[in-house]
Amino acid sequence: VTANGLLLWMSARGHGSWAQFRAAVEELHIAETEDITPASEEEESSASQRSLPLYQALRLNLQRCGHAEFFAGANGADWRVTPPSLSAIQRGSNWLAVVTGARSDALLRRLHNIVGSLGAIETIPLEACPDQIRIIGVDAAALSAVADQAGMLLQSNAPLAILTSLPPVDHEAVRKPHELPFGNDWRIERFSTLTLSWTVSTRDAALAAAAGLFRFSLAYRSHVLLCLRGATYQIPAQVGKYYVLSHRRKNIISYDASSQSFSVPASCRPPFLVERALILCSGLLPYYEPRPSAMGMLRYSEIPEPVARLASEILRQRAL
Amino acid sequence: VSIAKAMLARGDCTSDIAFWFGLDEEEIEQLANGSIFAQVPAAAIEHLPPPGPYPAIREVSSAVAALEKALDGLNAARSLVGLPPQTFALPALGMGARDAEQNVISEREVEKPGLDPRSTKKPNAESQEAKPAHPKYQPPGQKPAQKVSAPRPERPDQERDRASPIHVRLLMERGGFCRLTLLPKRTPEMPAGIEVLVDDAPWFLSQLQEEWFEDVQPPGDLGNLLRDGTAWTAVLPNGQNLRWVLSGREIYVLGHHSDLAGFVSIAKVLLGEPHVVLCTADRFPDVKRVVSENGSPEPVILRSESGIPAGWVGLQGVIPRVAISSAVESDILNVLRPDADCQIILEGGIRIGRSSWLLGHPPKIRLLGERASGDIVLVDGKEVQPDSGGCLVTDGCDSIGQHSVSCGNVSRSYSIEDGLDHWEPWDAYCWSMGDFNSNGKINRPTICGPLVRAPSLARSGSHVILLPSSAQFVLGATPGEIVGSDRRGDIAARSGIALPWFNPVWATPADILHSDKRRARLFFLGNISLLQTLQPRQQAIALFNPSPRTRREHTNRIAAWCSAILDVGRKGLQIEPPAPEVAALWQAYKRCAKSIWRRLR
Repeated sequence: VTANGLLLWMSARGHGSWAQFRAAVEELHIAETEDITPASEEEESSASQRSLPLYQALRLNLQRCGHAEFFAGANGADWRVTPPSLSAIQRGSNWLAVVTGARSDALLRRLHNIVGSLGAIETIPLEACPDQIRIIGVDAAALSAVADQAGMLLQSNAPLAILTSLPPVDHEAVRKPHELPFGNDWRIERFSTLTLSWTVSTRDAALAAAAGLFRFSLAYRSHVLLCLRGATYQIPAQVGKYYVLSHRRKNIISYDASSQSFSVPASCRPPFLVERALILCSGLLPYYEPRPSAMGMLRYSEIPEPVARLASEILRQRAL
Repeated sequence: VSIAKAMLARGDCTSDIAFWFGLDEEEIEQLANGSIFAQVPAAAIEHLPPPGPYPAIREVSSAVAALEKALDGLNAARSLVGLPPQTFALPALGMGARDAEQNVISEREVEKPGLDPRSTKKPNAESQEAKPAHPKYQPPGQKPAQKVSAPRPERPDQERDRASPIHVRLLMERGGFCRLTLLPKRTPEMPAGIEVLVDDAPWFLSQLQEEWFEDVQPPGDLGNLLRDGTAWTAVLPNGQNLRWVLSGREIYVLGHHSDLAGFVSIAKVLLGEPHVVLCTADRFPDVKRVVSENGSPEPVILRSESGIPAGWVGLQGVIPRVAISSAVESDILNVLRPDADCQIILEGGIRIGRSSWLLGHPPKIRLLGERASGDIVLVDGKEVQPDSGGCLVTDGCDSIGQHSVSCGNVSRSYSIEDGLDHWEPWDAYCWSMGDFNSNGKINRPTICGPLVRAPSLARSGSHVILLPSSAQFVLGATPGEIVGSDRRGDIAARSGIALPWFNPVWATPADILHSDKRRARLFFLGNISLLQTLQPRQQAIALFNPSPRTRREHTNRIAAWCSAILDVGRKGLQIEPPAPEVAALWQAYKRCAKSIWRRLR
């Protein structure tokens, strides 16, 4: 059984606990069938990549592709599978729809039968992720007809719609006031905007920072805190990184309009909803491009210019 | 040990014997099946304590109190006649009979170094200082004839202090490399995460499944740890001690597990199943001999370059074909001698319940071991012969419903079920980057997978549409159907979101009369192939029993709808896309707006 089996299992169950998810990863013996290259830890630089456990790689990829929501987004459960949907985007003269969310054998059969007359369908195997199913239609109406007949929901211009619904990284809605941890046992690190990695720091530095991202670790506990002139906020690590980068006016994103590729350093992966928008442009996970003397890059392919521009705006970067 | 053996021979219940000696029942069971102290003879019958069941600690406590009271009365009588008081050393609770046998056990310990029969006792400061050797694994011997034991009396949890086992897992990775980890067992009363002490160093265990903690790769030499064993301890907030034990041994048998990936340590090899055998380098020749005796194909040898600890050898692909009786004596090589027991295995497929599988993904049914002569295999009541792969297949065994498999007196059942076939979207994230949601209700679109949805505060039936940033108002076919879009001031976005509750047809700029005619456009949003359905309605939807405020708002909206259309007409904005049929539709809208506007005046 591969990750496809896991998505079928999740779809059959609808929602569940984290323990059930992990048990399913074990029981379906995915580790023995998936040819896994360990995914890079989101918060680590490529130089000190730690391999993620398979269940974490699967969870992150399911979440990035929009097949399921986990924890904060799972509406009371630890995970919940999203309804079967077509995420449509115009690509040149054609329209591309990425199949996301719940799957069942019956739904997939129905989809293949319907698409036969209205467009083309392709299945792309992905690493540590269910196969990506893409439908190519001549126009939006064709994709709408496929969605209607297959009993799926349709989201037009999903990448732009998602990005337009997100706050920018410096918006106060994405951080919460938080106390600075007390005690000498905490291991304190600061995110360096020069090396794009965590460096050893002190509590005093956190108190004095005009805008600094700090990580406090003690045993298995870890807090990522944004320190702004004595005020401290809890913030998602990836959001915090882009906040301090924008504060230092440091641009780390690049966009190549000719190849439509959007690149970020591997240690500065975009927050996951931004990443979801980028992935839904093609249905493909980012490609990790190692570099011998510098930090590796994550390259997102088939990103239209408006999407790249808006993603950069949300991240307070200047890619274009 | 000899007394315990004699008690077993007398037919005493194992739980009674364990209670009498203050030991764990599993150890008495090991004694019963000859796994430990196989050579120690049973004691004479006259040395035995009375048979169980024994009184509970509560009853003993009452008896001690009564004896103390009686002794006080006796001493009072003795003092009346001038005799000195009598003294008795009353045993402390929970001791007594067990202590009487302590010497016997201690003597036997000397005979069998490495086994601590009290290994399940709570660790205390003294025992930690002494650092007893970790328990050594006791290999299985030949099984004694099974006895029917009396029902076990219930014992409160506090009286138990049982060690949970630590299993060994091997995961095959890329390029023939493998990863060896330790997998501690979990019981329901254990928390999902717990800090344990491993050689005085703290280590955190987090739950992997209901019955397992996540694998750990402890620091230090894993080879020594496998050979010598290890014990981890933890204390729960309620003071309960927990303990995990890996019994050191020279040979490990790892096999497939129904709930876990990779190969997990099991008691002994199973007929027809693939295994990985780990053995110390010293034991390798013996292991190879027994593996060839049990009919296994030539295994692949794994050494340290494949990830096996130094001093150990792995044998991958051990598949026993011949059942072999275990040696009578306790011999570690017995773990490589498969029993002939027949078992029904349900494996693979997609299991969605305890014994239910998803339609289209049924389990494979296989028989392990050897069938007794005359035993018939039945699947759903039909006789079935295993195919070349050992699987049992019959028509309908993968169809929806309950199914049963039996062979002789062994049977299993499973069901095939449909999974969910309907899924609803929900508001997963609202104005958030995904890690946590903003507090309070916010009138912003929400995200669920790839879907962007109208917030719950929006008017019923609202849906999200994306507009170019130059467009501000969305118009529908019915007068009054007009809504503004959310123009993001915080980012330089070229698009905005509108939440119409109607089918959108047109989008107009914000300040139509002052817009730049060279750039501003009137956007057609409808489906060009369905133009007939988009013709303007001549009348607004009538409100049912409206309040004055609602009526006023409704009238204002109709006026705004007409005004927007008429302003676009006055300004003469170009229509996007510039198709003649769209232009004709726009003329119809202008006529309609003009007529309604006159009526409003």
